Amino acid sequence: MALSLAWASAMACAQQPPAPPAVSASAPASPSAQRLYERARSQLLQVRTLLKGQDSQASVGSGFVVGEDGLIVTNYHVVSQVALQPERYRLTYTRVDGREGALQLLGFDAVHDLAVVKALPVSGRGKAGAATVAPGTPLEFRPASVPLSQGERIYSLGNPLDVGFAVLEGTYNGLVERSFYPSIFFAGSLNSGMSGGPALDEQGRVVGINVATRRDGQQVSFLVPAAFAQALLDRSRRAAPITAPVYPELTTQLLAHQELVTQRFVAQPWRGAGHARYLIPVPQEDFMRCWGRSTPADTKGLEFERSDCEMDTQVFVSGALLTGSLGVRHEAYDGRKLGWLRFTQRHSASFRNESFGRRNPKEFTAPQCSERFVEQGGLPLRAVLCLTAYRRLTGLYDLSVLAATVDQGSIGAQGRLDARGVSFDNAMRLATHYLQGYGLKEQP
Amino acid sequence: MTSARLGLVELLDRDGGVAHRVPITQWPVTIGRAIDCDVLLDDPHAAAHHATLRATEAGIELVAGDSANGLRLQGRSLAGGATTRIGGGAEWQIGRTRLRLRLAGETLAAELPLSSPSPVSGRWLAAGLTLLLVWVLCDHWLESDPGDPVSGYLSVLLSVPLALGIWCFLWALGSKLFTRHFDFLAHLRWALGLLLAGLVLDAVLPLLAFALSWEWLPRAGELLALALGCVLLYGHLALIVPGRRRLLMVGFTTLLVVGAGLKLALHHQRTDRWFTPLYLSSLGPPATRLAPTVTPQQFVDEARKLRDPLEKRAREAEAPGWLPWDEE
Repeated sequence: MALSLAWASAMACAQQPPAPPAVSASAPASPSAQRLYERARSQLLQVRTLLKGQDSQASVGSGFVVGEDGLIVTNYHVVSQVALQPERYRLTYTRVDGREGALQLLGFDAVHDLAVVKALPVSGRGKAGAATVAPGTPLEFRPASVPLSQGERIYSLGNPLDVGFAVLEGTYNGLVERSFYPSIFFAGSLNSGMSGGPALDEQGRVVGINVATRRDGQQVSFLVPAAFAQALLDRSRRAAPITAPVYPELTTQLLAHQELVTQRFVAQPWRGAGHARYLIPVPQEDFMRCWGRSTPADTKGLEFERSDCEMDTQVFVSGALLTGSLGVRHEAYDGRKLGWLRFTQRHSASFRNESFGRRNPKEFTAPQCSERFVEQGGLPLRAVLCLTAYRRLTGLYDLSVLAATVDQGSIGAQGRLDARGVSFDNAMRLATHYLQGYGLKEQP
Repeated sequence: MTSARLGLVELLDRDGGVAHRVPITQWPVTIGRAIDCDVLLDDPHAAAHHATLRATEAGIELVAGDSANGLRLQGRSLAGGATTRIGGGAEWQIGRTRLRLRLAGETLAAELPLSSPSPVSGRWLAAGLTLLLVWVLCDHWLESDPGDPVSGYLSVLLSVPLALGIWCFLWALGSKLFTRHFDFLAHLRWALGLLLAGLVLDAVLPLLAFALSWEWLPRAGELLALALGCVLLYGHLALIVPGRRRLLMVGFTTLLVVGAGLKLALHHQRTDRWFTPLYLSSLGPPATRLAPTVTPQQFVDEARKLRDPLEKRAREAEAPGWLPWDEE
């Protein structure tokens, strides 16, 4: 089951030809939408990342002015190129009335995909001196004490695909299920380029920040709850502008994230895989989503059942690197129709078939593995533990643990745990936890 | 009445065989393209009167005539007018033509026995071929599911011997070219032997690695395959040019060392690891496992040793920019 989550910032290299407008987008704006847009338009910005030398745009997103200080909130992924390579990229904004200026990065929260930027005063040409980017009243956050109710209208603002500023109507549908952090399920159409734009309630208060949309669905979009933006804003208010690559701070945030993920994961008991003979570790579905599959009943060859569990929440680091998630898979094989010789060949071929991907050598070291026969709960296993270290996010590792049962001639199981962006100690904890999930069932 | 034969001048072909013989009945013997020469050459690189053989009291002398190209004798050049003593069996070159002198009364080398050094045994060959066929059939059985069409066996039964036959036929053509013998069976014996050795190793090594938990074995297996390839080619070439075995041996040993080094180095450059197999990926029947087990805790504690080398690698300067990787 392919899960394609599109971060709603338009990358220059991923531009698509203009498509006919979606039905929902061409529907006439309601009076509320009109009124809200009129009020908010002066606080709305397009955030552009420019290549320093040639001033061509590398990516575009949206942002909005909020609070008394006139600071601007957007997504981390909108400004990630500047955060990671400030020597190559710079940030500018364009207002609805066409005025432009430069932006400075003050703070970010990669885990919730948020960033706070500040507009620099426009220099020279008489109009200088305006400390705030935009005249008018900055937007306000909807207080947490006033919860949204399902079906409530939400208006999402931004500049989709660099086409022009837009207001899109949708509804609040509660929080996304099985998300590790609270995330608002917005039934509306977000498009690339709207990332970082505000989502407003009927009163024009910010309830969330546009962040992502599902490519394989319609009108399934996600907002970061306003509370996280408020917290980041409070932290960044007096921060000095960021001018160096943010890898150290990013590492700190990812370390905190993986600590939380590991703690919650290890605290959960394993679910059984429903196998007659083996205990196979399958995770709870609190913040993971599992898909299962099995061979048809009339299959002549190897019969198998598999489950594939992945965490929905991933942390965007750069366009080429998502991390901070867990995955657990298993396949249970029954080769009694094949006989032990043929089964051994299939079992072995499947074990060989595990991929470790080709990773960017600038980001990762080559994987290194440790392997042994392990016995857990009376079940002998072939276990392989492979680790890859992040080069730029020092102290983070990608872990893969493979396990294959080696107790029976013609039935068996193989499983795999993947943990991306974890500390070494947590990698060891997760590996132990995972392997301890195996065992032999007590036969009645 | 015919005069007594004093000797022969032999004109040799490219492979050293005698293409033409000119009997010597009197001295001197003139050699060249001119119609009045005793040994008439059909070689545009020869002069009209290129050389003369004459008998003196000391023996036979080769006198170079007036020519632009001169003579070549035992790696030396003889310019026009130069004279040198030669005996029976001497070879020299005029233009592109090789010539040899034979003299009456010279001592001949002993007769060579007829048989080739090691005859190909038909019985072993048949046994080897049968083994190969049984092997590929078993292999096909192993990879197919119950109820798969039987016709699959036919294709492997035909394709493997056919491929082996074509391979040996091409090498035998090489033998024909260089040794004049179409040594198909000798090539077949060599290729079959190595193929069987390769198959046996391919089956036994993974099983051994699994049984003893020898993670290094699949890595060594890569080099072993390279070595087998070198031995295979060495054997075929040694059959084609049997006189150059020592040279081939040196050549292939060098090739193996350089090839293995290059393979390792290239792989290391591309992936930062020396060997392709990342882990021991073969699983054997549970009954063959000899290596002991540990608890998950012990296993993970052992894996902690990965930390230092990984940290060290991560700290090292960033991977060079020429690594074949696209950012997107």
